[in-house]
Amino acid sequence: MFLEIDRVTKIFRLQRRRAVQELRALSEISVSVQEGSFVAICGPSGCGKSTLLRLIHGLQRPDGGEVRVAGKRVSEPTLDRAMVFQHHNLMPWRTVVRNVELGLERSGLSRNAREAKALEWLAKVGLEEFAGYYPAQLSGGMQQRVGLARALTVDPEMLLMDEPFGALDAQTRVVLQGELERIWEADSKTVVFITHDIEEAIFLADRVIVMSARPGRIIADIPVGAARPRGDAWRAAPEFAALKGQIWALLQGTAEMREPTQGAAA
Amino acid sequence: MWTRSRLMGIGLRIVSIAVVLAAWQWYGDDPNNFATPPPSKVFPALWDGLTSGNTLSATGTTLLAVAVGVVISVVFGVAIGFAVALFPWAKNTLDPLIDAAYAMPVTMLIPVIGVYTGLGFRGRVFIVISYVLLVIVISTSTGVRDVPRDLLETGKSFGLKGWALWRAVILPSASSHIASGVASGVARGMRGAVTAELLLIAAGLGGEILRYQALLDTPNMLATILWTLILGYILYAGALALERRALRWRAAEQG
Amino acid sequence: MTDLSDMTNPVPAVTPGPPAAATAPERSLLSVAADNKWVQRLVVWGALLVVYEIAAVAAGPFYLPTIEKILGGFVDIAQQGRIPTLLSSLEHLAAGFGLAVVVGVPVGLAMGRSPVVDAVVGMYVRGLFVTSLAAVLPLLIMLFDVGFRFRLVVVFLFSVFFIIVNTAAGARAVPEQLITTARSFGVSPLRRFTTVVLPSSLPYVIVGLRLGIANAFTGMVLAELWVSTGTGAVLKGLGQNRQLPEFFAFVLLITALAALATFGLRVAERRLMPWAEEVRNVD
Repeated sequence: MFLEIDRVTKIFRLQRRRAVQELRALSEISVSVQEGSFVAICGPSGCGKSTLLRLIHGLQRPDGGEVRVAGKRVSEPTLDRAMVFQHHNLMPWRTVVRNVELGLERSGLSRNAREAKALEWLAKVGLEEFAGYYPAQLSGGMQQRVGLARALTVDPEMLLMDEPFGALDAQTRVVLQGELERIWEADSKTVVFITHDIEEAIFLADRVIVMSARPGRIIADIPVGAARPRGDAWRAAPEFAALKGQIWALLQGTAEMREPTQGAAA
Repeated sequence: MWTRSRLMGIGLRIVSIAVVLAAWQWYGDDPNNFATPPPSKVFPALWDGLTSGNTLSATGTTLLAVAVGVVISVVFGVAIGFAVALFPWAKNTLDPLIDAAYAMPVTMLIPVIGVYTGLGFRGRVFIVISYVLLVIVISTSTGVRDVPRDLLETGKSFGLKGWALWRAVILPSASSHIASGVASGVARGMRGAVTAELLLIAAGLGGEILRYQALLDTPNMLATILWTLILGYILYAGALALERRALRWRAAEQG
Repeated sequence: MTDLSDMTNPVPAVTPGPPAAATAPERSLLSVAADNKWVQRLVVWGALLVVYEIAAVAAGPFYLPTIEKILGGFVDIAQQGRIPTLLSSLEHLAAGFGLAVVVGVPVGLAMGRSPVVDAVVGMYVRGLFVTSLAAVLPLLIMLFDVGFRFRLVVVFLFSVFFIIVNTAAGARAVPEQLITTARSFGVSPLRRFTTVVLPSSLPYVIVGLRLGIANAFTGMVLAELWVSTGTGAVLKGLGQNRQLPEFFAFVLLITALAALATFGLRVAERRLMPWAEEVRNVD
């Protein structure tokens, strides 16, 4: 397995006035992800999914268990894994193209080479005209696309996406979902995608993992077998609605258990 | 651009200035109000002072002290500010001291400055530094501490560590705060210089004001005071303009 | 992996006896002590005092009095009757600052809410706010003569602009949605003012007061140095006679008062308005 999350636990300690409060964010989570698959993690706010993503990336360390990528334990962020954040987190003082170059600054490439690569990826997200603009001059959707280009420019093996479209309006979200699907089709990286938008998860992923509220545990692991490339036809399909209903019920916490729908395991 | 409200704004300002000038003229014409000569006497005096070079040379003396004091304050202030921001115990130990020092009326030190620096250029520069240094320290340390966590995380996420992280994220983010601090510092430096010239050793513009006061030459005194006030404002406006140019991206954020 | 029983138990159970890898490591006494505020202060302030003492001994009594001399200076000041002088100066300070508040807050609110007021008065306020008011002192002396009024006016001028500018910033920063919401619920303009604009501007007003009081102290000292009365005269005398221990002691005393006033306002800021985030100073 390419990505292995092995009984991972994460506890946050918050300094209150008198005492230290312990918050158990994740409790013995175990997941295995195959290389090249697109996994979505769905769950209520505060269930620890962002924390899990940061543990996979290496920005934080687990308090129990470990995360392994290609057999090696993850201990710090390397450029094999690139992250796209919910808030674009672009450096406001850099132009768009310089922002996209951020990940390349440790790579030893020359200035021209870095810029060329950045422009190449900006073109793939359709923003090459805006290379010289500042982030504040772009719309929310464009800013997120720059964030995506930035992550893809470092040519990572794994793409980690933390509710990247969560701050955008519904229409932009749908457009960007389509674009992400198209880009991923061309390159098939391993993607771990966090969202609380069920439709987004079902549209994009091969597999939807449903998490419970804090402390985060995995409630369900549902394969999504729709053929790719996926377009609007998939959104309209009855299986789509059935999956949506199933996941929604799980998130609601109803006791009813349903058989996962058909489809090859991811 | 030339909307009604903008025109009204400009009109109001013009009317306001006209009213103030008229009232001043009326008040100053009264021979009982010796201390406040009217604009009709003050503006010509101002013009004479400028064209004769008197006022300008005094201005140069004052500005020199300001420039030297501000530069020294920035160099040391930024360094100290970084040190404070990076010292983990600073919040409990140094911050209270800095806040107390900031509250201190530095003018108090004037009677004793002569002991350490002598009366003269060095003394005036020292007073300027005492007005400016702390502001630079505070804005630098705040700037470094207040780097948005998200941006730091993003930098780390792309493998930036140590000096690379500083150069890519922390320094550019802090520079915004520091630039504001320097602009404030320039205004404060001017205030310090004039205060020193009035109380420590008569020189520059402060010295001119004192000279005219001693001669009871109120038109020239008022003209010089007016010039000093205007100069202070121009200096600050200039510093702000430079700050905005250096941080063009901020304009994009607000624009 | 799929633990469905959790679905019926939405409340997470507290796991007794956490797994071994998840306990917090025992911290050494030293590291716990180092986190204590007062231990840190003891170490750092103690170190600073030691450094000063060494410098004082090295520089000699002509330049830097040692700490024990400074402590003696405090005693001397009390015995020489300087304290009543200080108190009298503080009275002027309070009067001038009080006036500045009474005038400054309404003007600031007006400037912030009314574009007309801002156009008419704003440029003078902003201009005078930035420049060296000290330059005006020779003029003020001629107008007000030496005495209570002069010192009052100086303190007033030094503090009022900080109050006006910050109050105006606060009044301007009231989120328009709050006002629109109040209006849509039929709240009268007066009540909108008292229940929306005032509380919303309050943090900024307090910041203005905090900066204003610090500058009020500056104005007080400046005025008194200028006319050689009160505390200023004391400082001048001590400085010229090179009575450094008493001078340092007096300076420390005044600094402590100014710092206390500022600190008090900061505490008020935090207590009265727990909902206000750190407000950016207009300085």
